[in-house]
Amino acid sequence: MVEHVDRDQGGVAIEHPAAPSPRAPGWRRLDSGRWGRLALLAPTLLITTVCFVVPLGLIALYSFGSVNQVDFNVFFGWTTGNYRAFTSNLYLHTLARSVVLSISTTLACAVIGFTFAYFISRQSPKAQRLLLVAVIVPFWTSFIVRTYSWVDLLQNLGPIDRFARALGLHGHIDLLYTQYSIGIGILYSYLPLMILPIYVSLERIDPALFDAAEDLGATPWRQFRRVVLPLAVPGLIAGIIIVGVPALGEYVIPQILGGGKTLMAGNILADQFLQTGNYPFGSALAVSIMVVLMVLLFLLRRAQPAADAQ
Amino acid sequence: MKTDEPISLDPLTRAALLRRAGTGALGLSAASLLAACGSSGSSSSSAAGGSSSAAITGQAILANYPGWMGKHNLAEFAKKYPGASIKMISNATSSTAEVVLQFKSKQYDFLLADTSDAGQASAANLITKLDWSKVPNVKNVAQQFRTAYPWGLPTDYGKVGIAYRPDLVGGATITSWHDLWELIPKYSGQTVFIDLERDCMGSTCKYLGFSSNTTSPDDLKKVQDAIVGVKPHLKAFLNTDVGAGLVNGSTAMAMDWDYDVALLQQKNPKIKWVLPDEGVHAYLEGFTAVQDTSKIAVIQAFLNFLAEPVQYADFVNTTGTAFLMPAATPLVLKSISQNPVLVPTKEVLAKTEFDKYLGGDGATLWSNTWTAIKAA
Amino acid sequence: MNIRRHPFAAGLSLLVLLFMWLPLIVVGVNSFNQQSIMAGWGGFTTHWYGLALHDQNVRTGLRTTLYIAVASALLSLAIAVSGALWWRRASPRARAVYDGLIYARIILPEVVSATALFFLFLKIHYTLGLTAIVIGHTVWNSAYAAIIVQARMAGLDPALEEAAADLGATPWRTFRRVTLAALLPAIIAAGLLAFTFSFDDVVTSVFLQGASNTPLPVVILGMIRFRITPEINAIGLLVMLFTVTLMSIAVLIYATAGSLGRSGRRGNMLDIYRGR
Repeated sequence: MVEHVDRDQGGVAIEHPAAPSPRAPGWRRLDSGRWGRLALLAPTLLITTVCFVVPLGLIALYSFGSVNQVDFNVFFGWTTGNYRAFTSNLYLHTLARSVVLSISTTLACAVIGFTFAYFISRQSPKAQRLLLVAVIVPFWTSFIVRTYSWVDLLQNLGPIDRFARALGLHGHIDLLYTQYSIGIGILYSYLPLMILPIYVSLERIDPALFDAAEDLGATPWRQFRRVVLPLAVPGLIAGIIIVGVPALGEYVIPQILGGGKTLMAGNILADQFLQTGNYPFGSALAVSIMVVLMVLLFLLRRAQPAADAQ
Repeated sequence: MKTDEPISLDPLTRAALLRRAGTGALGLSAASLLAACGSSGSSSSSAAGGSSSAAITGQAILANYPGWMGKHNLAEFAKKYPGASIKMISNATSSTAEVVLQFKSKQYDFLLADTSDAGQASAANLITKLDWSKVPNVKNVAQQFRTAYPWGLPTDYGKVGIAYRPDLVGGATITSWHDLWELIPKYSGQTVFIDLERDCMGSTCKYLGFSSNTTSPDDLKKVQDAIVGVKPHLKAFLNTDVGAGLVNGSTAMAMDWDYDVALLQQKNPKIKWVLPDEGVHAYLEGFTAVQDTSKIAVIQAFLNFLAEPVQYADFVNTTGTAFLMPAATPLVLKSISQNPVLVPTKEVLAKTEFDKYLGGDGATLWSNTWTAIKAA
Repeated sequence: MNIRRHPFAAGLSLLVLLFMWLPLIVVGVNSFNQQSIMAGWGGFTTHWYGLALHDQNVRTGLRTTLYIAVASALLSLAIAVSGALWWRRASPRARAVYDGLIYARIILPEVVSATALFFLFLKIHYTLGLTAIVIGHTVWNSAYAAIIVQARMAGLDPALEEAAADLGATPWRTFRRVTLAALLPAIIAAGLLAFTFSFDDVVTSVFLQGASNTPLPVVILGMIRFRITPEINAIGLLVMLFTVTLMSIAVLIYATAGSLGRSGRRGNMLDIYRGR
């Protein structure tokens, strides 16, 4: 598009292309304005208030009630007995064991997951997608089928045991139905959950940043620490939350891979809701866990670098 | 708790049957209904197709395990009663609270439930007692099972005994729970217990000489100690593939269901089944109707249909379970009907105690004990 | 494949892939095992696949589960993306509440959430069934999706959108071609995650199923009442193959449609300028 044509000394036309059209008058971002913003928030509001806050309120209510042991109806005479009930040694010991197992598995998951996510993010986009899919496809079999196949794998006289013995191990690996098999099972079930958010964070790191750092003489480790790590932190924290919290409440894996010999906090909780119908006690447990974890998470959030909270 | 009645195959009158079922449950409505209907003897024949089929229409929804039905049962029923059908949902579970919630939710018309869950549902007023005049074929079911399962039609049961490999325990012979408890520490890490509260603790009750329906705190403390005492030597508590390790020898001894062992013995004949001297407990399950179901006519027609020997034999042959209808024996596969593991003699049945609902306090006591055992 | 620059990471990644696929190999091997008791190899057979393919419960279950998973994933994405866009320009206080609700949904154990929803639905006489299951799944699926999308949103440069606006793009086009495009990896990752969670879920499905068809994981749970059979392994493998095929078809459709729309050229900022 030409605004006007000048002629220079020699009569050759000099074109002056028009300046790019400015923003149309009244241009507004989609997410500005009260109704726009409300429209954006509405789906989240709907699902959280109706289908989460209200049921949660119900749970909180139940935690102060009592249950009819026959028909499992919850009735009220308000009581804090449910909260006092689990300060017994039995439950605290179980809770401690679950916390230790959950933390150690989450840490292992974070290290391994981060390495894998980092490796993927350094590949071409095509290879990235392939690797991501390769990591998630095993999860489209059934959880039960996968977990029981670990029983096959880890048992004495199973493939791993025989492989180890072929390598010279004396005796058996004795891995199945121990805390280690539970850890392996949890690690296996949660690794993709750790990899995905970290990958998403790492993927947007411009490869040019690396070249720049290298040009400036930074060692690979330094590049990593100063460039990659800070940018990966949001994904890493997201991954730790997504993995660590549910790992704490895991009860199926301890049953299948732990041989039912290791009682976890998740077992106690699930038992109230599935077996004994003691909803008040279960609710008190759930509320307590939630309060503790929420406080922890908010402290974590405070400690995050301010750059994260734009 | 009092032990089981002695076996009697004498038919009881329906009224007496309901009286027994009525103790502890609030099934007054069914009893009065029966009284109002008059009380002629069970004279109707097994083919109850005729008079009241006008009311037998609609679809009744059944919550059951997948495949826990004869291959042809549902199709044949639909043929016989056009306009009526059964929709089977594969939602059954062994977790008590879930079962009770399924009764409560009124989403189903009838459910597969065992004695303790059905007993609890009955005590909580969540079931509809069957009008036995509409289910006359129930007389084909052996009496002991009808007594133990008065809320609906009992369909199958399983005893919990011992399965072991004599060649892996030095040729020892096990004949009692006592023998098992002695051998467990000697062959550490090679014994499997069942990971279900009633089965595991119930068997231990038998070991200690108690009823498997005891609610005495002292008894349960002893049960706890007995299990915790051998727990370090147990391989695992399992609820699936409980005895599978017996086939390749990774397990030497197991507390297991007769159903499971019968199949395992086919894979490895070296596996021996023991019904211990002290006795065994057994689960018993059946189909129970939910309270206020509008399809009670269909349900009763179906259960009556299922209780015909031909249909019930189809059920047994498909599921492979121990069965409770003597009349069906000639129609059942020989691998089941002639298997001493699955088919009880009178003596065996005399030593078998079915699980009962333990009441609110009793159930709580049991579950606390079980938690303590698992936490140890 | 860029291996030489990162030998350690490459080695570990190979181990990770092996770790992820090892159980699958076991599942595959077991599904062909003639020996039904899973305690030793008894010869090769495809008998179990025949059983699995003809099992009506399995077919209905697969169909039901796919429906639930896709519905829940789409819903969760809509909720997560719209919420993340709101979050970007929200006050710190509003953000704290929003984030708190996300954390809370993840922290609440599924057993508790499923039971609570069950009681709630009973109280308001809402019929249990597939829709109830989708809702139940979406409650926590949307939280996981939101976390992933937000992790990406945190690094989105607003200058890009300003530039697009300056170049004459309408707000809607800016959103589509700049914002959404930049979020795309997170959207895909979140969608995959949500789908996978729903696909495998047992607890919420059992509670909220009502009288509807049974989702596949619940069917499988019922089938392992006494033992694991090779048929169950066959089901696991078939389901995986089926889903991979579906996904591949979806990707192919998306890629083909995308390239057709841009006549083979990848879109760039110049296109916005040229008004295409």
